[in-house]
Amino acid sequence: MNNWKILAVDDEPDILHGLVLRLEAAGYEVCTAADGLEATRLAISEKPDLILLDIGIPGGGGHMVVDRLRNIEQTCAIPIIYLTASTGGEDIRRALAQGVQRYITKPFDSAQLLRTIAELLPASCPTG
Amino acid sequence: MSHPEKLKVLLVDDRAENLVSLKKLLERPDAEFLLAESGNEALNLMLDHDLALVLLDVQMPQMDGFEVAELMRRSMRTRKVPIIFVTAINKERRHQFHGYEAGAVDYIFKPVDPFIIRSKVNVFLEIKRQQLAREKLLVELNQANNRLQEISARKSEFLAAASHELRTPLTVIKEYTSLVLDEVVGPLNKDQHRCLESAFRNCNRLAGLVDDLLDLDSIESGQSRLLRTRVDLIPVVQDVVTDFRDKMAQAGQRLEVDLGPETPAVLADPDLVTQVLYNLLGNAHKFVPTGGTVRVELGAGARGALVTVADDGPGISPQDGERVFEKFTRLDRQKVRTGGTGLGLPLSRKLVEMQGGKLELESELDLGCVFRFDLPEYSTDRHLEAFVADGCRSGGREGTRWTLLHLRDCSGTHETSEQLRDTVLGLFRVGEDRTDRITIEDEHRQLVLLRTERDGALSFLARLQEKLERGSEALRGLEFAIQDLDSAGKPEGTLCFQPLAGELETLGRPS
Repeated sequence: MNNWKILAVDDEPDILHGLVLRLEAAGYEVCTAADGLEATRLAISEKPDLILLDIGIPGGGGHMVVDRLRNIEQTCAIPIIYLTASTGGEDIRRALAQGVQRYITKPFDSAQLLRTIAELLPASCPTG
Repeated sequence: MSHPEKLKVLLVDDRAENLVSLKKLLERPDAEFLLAESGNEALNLMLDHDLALVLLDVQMPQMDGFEVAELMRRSMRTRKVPIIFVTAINKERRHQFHGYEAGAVDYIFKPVDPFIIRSKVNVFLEIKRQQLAREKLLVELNQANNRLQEISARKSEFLAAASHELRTPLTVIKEYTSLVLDEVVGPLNKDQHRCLESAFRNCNRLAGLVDDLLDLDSIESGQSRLLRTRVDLIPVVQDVVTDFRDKMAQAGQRLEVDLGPETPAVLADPDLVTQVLYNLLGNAHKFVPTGGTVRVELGAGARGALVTVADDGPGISPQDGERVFEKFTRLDRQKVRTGGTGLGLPLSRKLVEMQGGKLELESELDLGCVFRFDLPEYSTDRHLEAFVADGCRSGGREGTRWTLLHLRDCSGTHETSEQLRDTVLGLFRVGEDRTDRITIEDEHRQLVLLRTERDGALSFLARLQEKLERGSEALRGLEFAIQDLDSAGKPEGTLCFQPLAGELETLGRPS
């Protein structure tokens, strides 16, 4: 374990389960949510170090989750990666405007996803 | 009731007997004659009828023919209706009429010569008939065009939705294959590994197909992004070649590269050039057998730079050469090979053409393939046109009117980039709440934002205006407006129209 905690959000259980397997194998601690409300709740209570977020989820969608988290002091600095099947320009523009760190389209390359996650996490391990 | 096809001619004379004899003289099956005995009566009839021609007696009591004509020319409805004045010879008085520029005017002198008046009326009626036919065609053409656009838009929507739906299951299949393949869930033997590798490779192929389909559709419907700029091709080619070096070495293929140092800079979109190179090299990698050679050359061409990707693979017979650029073409030799989407080459050709170049294949069976494409040499003039044309394209549907907005810095005050961005985005999306600053008449307009504080911006505008006046094809439909922003201050920082605003720096500097 490297002690980093990642929150993975997707309404597709198969994708979520795949992400858990992949991330745990890479040594991350993982918590999951399938909708926007659950994602917001866990982001506050679990204090993840990074969030993988699908855009097309129930409960307001990924954009609303980001807007909410950016307005909460404990969560505003958590790095976020959009992981989405949407290649639409509007979603990408919105992501940029929200200051979302990365935008990865599905189907994704898992090696690239792990590299991107590593880039966004600080070099040293968290304490505790 | 008159036949709808009949043309209407109004005869105006204060003497009823003149009207009757004129009508008799001119009568024909395709025309309906309306009669008026005074100017007022004539004007009333004009309100109710769409007229092809008016024959107007000049000498009438109360309101004479010239006065009637003056009134006709003031109303939009009758402004363009041709008039034939019927008058005794009186050349001086002709100058009292001032409506010549608005519509056709002719004269017939009394006593009326039947042959002359009939032929004059014929000419005007023929003109009207042609005009009506043209208008009808135009309406039909517009309707057909709208229908086609609607169908095309629906097709694009369908493709976008279908591709989105395909991506989710594809993601699951690919990720789970990859999880097993990476032995995250347990060890694999060699055969299992090989089987899953095939599955994984084909997941990627399917993903590529979905991407290519979407790309091709957005190009064909004119919605793809294009951002041309000055490009030095050497590093672009080098980057792609580096990506292929290992793959080709593993496949036992030789990769030769010759980057001519004399290659001129081109006007192109570097991302699209990269995409084309990936397709051509990927294609060669797929078809060249072990021990074969792929050669990449870069040099000067007749119109700019010339890029060549040659291989000594199985080749294609010359008669099949053009077919590789058709969608989903599978030539016989390709049946035995796997990996392509069937869209890479058609897509590449479109991408090159979008940038003003040509992609061609020269090939002989058993002698390999030579793909060549050229790109236009960079010049500030070409860049100027591309700059605006690409910007129009990036926002646009067919039929959109463009406004080039020049924000002039009058106050010299600094405003934060966020404030300006808000202003521009507000206008772009809503178009209402900031109309005190900039007037946008309808939602189909696009703003092209220029940063005028940049070096060369004013000469850019001057040259753009000059090109617009000369009717440059690339800039057709573009409107040009200069708007002072007195209190908003300087356009600065990164804007939503970053491609346009950002490009300006490299333009217009005196060369």
